[in-house]
Amino acid sequence: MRNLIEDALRSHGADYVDIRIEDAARTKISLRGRSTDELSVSRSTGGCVRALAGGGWGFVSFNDTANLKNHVALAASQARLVAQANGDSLLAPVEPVIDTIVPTLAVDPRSISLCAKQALLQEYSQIMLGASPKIQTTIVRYRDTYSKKIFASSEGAFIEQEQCDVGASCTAIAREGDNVQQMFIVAGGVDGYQSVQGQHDRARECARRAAENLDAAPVKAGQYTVVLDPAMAGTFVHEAFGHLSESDFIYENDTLRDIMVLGKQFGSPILGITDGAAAPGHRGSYRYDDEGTPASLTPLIREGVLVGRLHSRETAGRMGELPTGNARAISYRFRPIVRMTNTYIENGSTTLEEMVSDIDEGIYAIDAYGGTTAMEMFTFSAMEAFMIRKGRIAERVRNVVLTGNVFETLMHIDAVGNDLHISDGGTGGCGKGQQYPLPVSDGSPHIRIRNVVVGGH
Amino acid sequence: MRDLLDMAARHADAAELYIVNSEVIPVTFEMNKLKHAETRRMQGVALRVIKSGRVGFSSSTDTGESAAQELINAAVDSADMGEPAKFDLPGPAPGGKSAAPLVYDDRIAGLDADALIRMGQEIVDIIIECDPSIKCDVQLERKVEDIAIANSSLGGGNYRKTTLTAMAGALLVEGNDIFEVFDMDGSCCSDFDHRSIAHEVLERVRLGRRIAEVHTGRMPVLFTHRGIMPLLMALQSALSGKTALEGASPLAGRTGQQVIDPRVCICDDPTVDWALGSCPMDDEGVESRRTPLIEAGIVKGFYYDLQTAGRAGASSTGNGFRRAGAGDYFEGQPTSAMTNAMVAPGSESLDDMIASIDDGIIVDQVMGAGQGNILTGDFSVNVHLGFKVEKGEIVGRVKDTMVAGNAMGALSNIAAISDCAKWAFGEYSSPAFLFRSLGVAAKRR
Repeated sequence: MRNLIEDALRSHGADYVDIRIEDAARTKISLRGRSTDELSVSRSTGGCVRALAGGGWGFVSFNDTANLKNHVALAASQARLVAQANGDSLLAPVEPVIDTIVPTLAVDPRSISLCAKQALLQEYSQIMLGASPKIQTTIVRYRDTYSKKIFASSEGAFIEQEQCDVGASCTAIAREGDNVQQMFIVAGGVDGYQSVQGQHDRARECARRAAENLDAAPVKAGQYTVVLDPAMAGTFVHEAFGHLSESDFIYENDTLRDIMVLGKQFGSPILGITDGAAAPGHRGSYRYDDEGTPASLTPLIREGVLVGRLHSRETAGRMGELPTGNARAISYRFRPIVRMTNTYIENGSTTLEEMVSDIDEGIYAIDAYGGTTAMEMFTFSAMEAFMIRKGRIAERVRNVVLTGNVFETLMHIDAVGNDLHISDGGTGGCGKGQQYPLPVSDGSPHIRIRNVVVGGH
Repeated sequence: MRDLLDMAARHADAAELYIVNSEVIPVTFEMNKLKHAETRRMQGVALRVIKSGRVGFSSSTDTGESAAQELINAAVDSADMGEPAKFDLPGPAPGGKSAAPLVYDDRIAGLDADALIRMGQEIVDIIIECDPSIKCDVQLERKVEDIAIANSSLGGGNYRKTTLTAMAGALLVEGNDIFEVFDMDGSCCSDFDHRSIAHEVLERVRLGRRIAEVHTGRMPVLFTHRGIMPLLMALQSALSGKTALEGASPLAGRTGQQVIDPRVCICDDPTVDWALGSCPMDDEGVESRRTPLIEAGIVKGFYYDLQTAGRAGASSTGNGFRRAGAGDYFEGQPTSAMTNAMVAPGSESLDDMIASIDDGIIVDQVMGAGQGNILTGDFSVNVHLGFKVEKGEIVGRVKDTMVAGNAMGALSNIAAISDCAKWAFGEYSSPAFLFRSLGVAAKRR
């Protein structure tokens, strides 16, 4: 394969060409209640060629890796087609690397039989179904992917990287009449199958909480002081700020570049935010991104001030900054775009008790269902929530969905805890454009935010 | 294909092959500038077997002879742990009249990157000629897809489908206010006018220039065909044969009962000519047909794939689709999924509906549609694009606003349904709905 790739890279008629070849094996199992809903083994082999000519990009993805030269020629001709209209994109320099990366796995998921994987999921399913008579059904999902990726560029890079991603989620659905409540837990990681084992207690607890949530009253719409637990705050930092730090949406727009100018006060002085694939052992961790740029740790906010952003080689080149190793693609079917990796709020010094103690009426939100963002606006929802009354955590409420505007909300963070936790796992990930799911992690200590809009009936 | 199927059938009691070949050409403009031209070619094969009464499944991107044995072994091995098969693979389609919709157009298949770039440039030009301060992202995409399904009961078939889709997003930035309008549409037919999305986007930019104040409280809320998405998602979930079978749907066991306003009719219809979700058969080779789900507010039925139908003691409605994420969707086993959701129009004009609002909002686009408790129908969404209405007039765009409610509850308390159903994002067709009273939360300014 190496000869084939290097041969194809020799004559291309473009300014720059890179080739990615991937071979991935995936196992997916899902149970609904006690029955196996899906069990599949798949093999995906293919590649892509990206070409830059006169500032225009061409991209070809394919499954027949034998005809590399033809794919290179097509990508280059498409790049030239785009170049006719515009000729000014450029790549920030990156030292071409030749390297081979093999992950260290405590338990290789490929060494575990399908039967054993299914049995483990059955255990989680049984535990949740038995946790409360109100549990109507459960959904337990498992997925592992082992991929071998080759990256080679016309600049001389040749990187062979093997990666393993294992994830599981356990969802409990509780029902009483028309009232249906669901909660889930996730587990997983990049260091092996053991990351999804031993989740029995968490699964039981999850089912119990789903049943308890049936009795929660819907939250009243309004503006509240909210305390977010580390999982919820992790989703918040990912949605509310993380996507805005992806440079591909500002590098072509001068007005947005002014809004996102480095040195601008973005949040309160107690706020620090970091992203980086070089933080080891998380779902968004890797050594090289899909452009062959080494992973790094990128400070985004320090003491409330915007100090960095996430780049591909192109966005860094256009903005005169350094590449950060954040160009990622979910597979060879797609071109790499600027993405987050592991994104987290840095530790502060306030305890949860201190945060709650001086709130007269507020909300304590735990574990995120999900979230989404569109530029400055974001929204995310809590799986579980409690009212805070007169300095104490009080009754359960449900349907807590928060929304905000990044420019105001980061300023309204007035307390940051000292219990940073990064959430890994699950079978989903981050979505952007057509590319979902991308493995990422996010995290935070507990945080408190003033004046958050909460939707309600 | 037949050889591989015969080989597989020798190792199992029944076998089904699904083979897809597709070529997608997207061209992308970012911030008014042409940036990318791509060609994405995909091939994939999925094998499903029934062995000793259990289902096994495997897939591969390698459709060649050499990979056949690995594919068969993996599928047959997984059948040992698979769920009990509650269905028979469909036999040959009954001959004679066929309601197969039109989904293939030579002229779309013939579009190359050059032609798509010209079409994309037209959209960019229309938008920035009208307002040079707008920065727009535009994508034109053409797809040609060949699907072949064959099984050991001699059922299945094959078809070729073309789609042309256009997406446009307009961005206006003023101070810290980022104003974003998005639309997409598409068709299997080249008669589709890609320029229309430019005009749709511009009209909404015009209405949203000013920012208007909204107060927190209950008020009339009008959802346009685009804005109605979170309510429709809740109904789609509730009407899934799978959700109902597990008792997780609020509509489970309520067939024949009045559950929402009698003016509401919803069906699934993959037989609409040229619609993006149309197809002559589903991914299990079951012939496409129109499936009534709610008529006059009464539950008429649920949509099913083969296995779910078998478990529920029902018949497949031709809604078995493979939907495993982006890219290699054939890696997933068929599951119950809708094609074109069609909501019937009502009787009032949209203008009259807006004129009837004394103090309320219009929701045209939402963010976070899937993150509520879809199962109960509770929704709580950010109004990504919405307008304030005072004394029957649109007075400006709302910001930092959420709208919440319960889909079933809201659909039982409808003030009016517009007389025109429109395609939203090429995915579903719906009229606009005006609800008497929903919870709105807004930031105090």
